[in-house]
Amino acid sequence: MSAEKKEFGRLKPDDSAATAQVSLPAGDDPVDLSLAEHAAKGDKGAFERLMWRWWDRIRGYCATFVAFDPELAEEAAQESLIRIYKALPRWRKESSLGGYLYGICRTASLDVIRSRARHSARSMSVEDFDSLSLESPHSTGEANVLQEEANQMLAKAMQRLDPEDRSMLYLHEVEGKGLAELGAMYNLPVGTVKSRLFRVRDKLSVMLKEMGYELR
Amino acid sequence: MSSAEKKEIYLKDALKDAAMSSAPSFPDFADVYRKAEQRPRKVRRIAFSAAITAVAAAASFWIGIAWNSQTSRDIALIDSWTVSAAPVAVSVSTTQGAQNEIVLTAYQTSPVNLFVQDLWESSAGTGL
Repeated sequence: MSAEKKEFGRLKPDDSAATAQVSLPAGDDPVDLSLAEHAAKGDKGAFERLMWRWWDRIRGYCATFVAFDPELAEEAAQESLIRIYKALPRWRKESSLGGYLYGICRTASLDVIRSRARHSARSMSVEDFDSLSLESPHSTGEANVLQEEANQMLAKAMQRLDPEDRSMLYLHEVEGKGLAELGAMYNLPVGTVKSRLFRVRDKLSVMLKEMGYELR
Repeated sequence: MSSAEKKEIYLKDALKDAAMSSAPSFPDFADVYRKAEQRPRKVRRIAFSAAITAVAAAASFWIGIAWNSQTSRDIALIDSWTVSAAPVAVSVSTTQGAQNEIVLTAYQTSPVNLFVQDLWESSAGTGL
């Protein structure tokens, strides 16, 4: 088995048995469900509490989708909140709340990228990342500087990936979403999600290797 | 820390760091409510404009149809053709039988004259 395949062995084992187009598991937090129900009826307090509970996941997902561009990330996250606020009353309870929220964030982020591309107000080229300073003003020690540099190299490599692939990788690696859940979210068969994640990780690994980094 | 360790990237941690450092810190709920309330108005405005455009298009279509049918009833039939010394005269009759005469201020061999003559010859049996 190749090193990449061993790496890919980290994918959730139960996912491999899942069939294509699996419905989302009902793994939502009861507190979230209760808040979502109240928010759907127009309770702004419940909406705000729900969004605060989801804020890190929403902003992290949106930032990854737009390739860590701070301006686009803010726009995408804010647009996601607006759409969630408007869409919650239409949420069908039989589907996962998480999948529903991430789906809204995905379309909102995609629209923000498209809108920006249309207006061409700001180019999101790789050169933008190249021009970034590798020294952070907040970094004091060598370890911080190296960490900052590594993050920027990763951001640079991620920039070259497809937004959908970036976001899928983020959900899998950071949020711990399984293949079945991702398949339902992205409307893809589990096998496709698995091979896509493998390819994305492999591509990222190759790009980072060219930059002198080893992906773990 | 060895140089080999320095060059390693732990995907999960690095992804999270990169995402969190570029993401906004706080949500702006006031902006959310304001924009959420503005959007239905915007949608209604677009729908109203689309409805007005559709009504105008339909109206102009039917007015065009009516106009065409109206003018076709008054179409003149050329029932005779006479050539005289300049100016050239064309005698026409309407469907109501009224006699009219159109005087063409053109020479006998001019394109207008020849066109009318051709028109008369082709429509003499069946009308225009």
